[in-house]
Amino acid sequence: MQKMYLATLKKVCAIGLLCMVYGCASGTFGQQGDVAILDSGNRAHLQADLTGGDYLAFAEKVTDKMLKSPVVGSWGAKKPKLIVGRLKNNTDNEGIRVQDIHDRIQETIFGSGLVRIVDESATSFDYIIKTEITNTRQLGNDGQELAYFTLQLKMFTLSGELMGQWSDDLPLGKAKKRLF
Amino acid sequence: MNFFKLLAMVCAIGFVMMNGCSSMPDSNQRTVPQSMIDTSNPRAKLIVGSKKLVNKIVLLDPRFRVLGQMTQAEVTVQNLTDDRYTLEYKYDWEDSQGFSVDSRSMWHRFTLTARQTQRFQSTGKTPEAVNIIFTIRLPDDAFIEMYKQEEK
Repeated sequence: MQKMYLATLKKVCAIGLLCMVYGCASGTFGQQGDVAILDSGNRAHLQADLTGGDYLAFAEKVTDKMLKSPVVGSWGAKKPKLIVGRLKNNTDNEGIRVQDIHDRIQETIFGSGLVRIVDESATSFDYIIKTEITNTRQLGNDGQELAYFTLQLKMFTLSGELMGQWSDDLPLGKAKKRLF
Repeated sequence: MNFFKLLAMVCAIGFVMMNGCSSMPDSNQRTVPQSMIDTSNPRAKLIVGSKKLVNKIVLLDPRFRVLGQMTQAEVTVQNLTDDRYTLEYKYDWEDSQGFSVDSRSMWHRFTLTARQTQRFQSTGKTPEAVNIIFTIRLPDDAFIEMYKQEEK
């Protein structure tokens, strides 16, 4: 009887060891998580970094502030020529898709119908918009993280005079890792 | 079958048909009136996107003004409780005929402390954008600690 228990115990240990080896080898236990389609307005984050939704939100907010400014209000039906300059990435993340943010801002301004957008190579224009994104980041214990992103949009005349400056902020916080 | 039985049957069938028809909403109206949707201002539809927020968070005083060619809107959100709420809001814009003009609007997160009132502004992204749909909801975020909201 004792021999039978010992044999069973050995089998259980062997299976357990096999599972552990399999787990280490493949790096995962169990099945992969399912993938869901999210609402396009969704702002879910897996990391304390910007997502495509944040790019859109930044573009929405800064253009919101720009379009309601007295400078833009004074244009009336003039439709000045405008260059939307390349975004300057001053964050600690070189992976930010600067072209995507630039395109979202340009798309919104162009969609307003208030200006004529010209390319950066154009020599004749009325205003140039320069954009810059910056951030600060704090790291805590157990994976805690606080990141603060700021997008700035500045509009200059051809002679270099600043006509308007608008910005928007996005704070992101990551909670500490929990065992359960 | 006598006359009274026949009359009773006709009445019963008529009652069932009338009842069935009355439960169907009029498909020509813009919105079916509900406690979570306020359409009292003809230019603003204010939606409280969760039953848990009804009578706790209220949307008030939609205002509009013209800035150049654009329209600016502002809506007040008030917390009627002693709890702190983390919520999201979204502005959608429509033209004067009710067609959507800006579909790229995103959810924006904000926090209301107890009894706090906050005002949120948006500018229509085209000169045609004149009416708003303003919606608030509890964050629909698959990855944040939702239990914090559930505990209230």
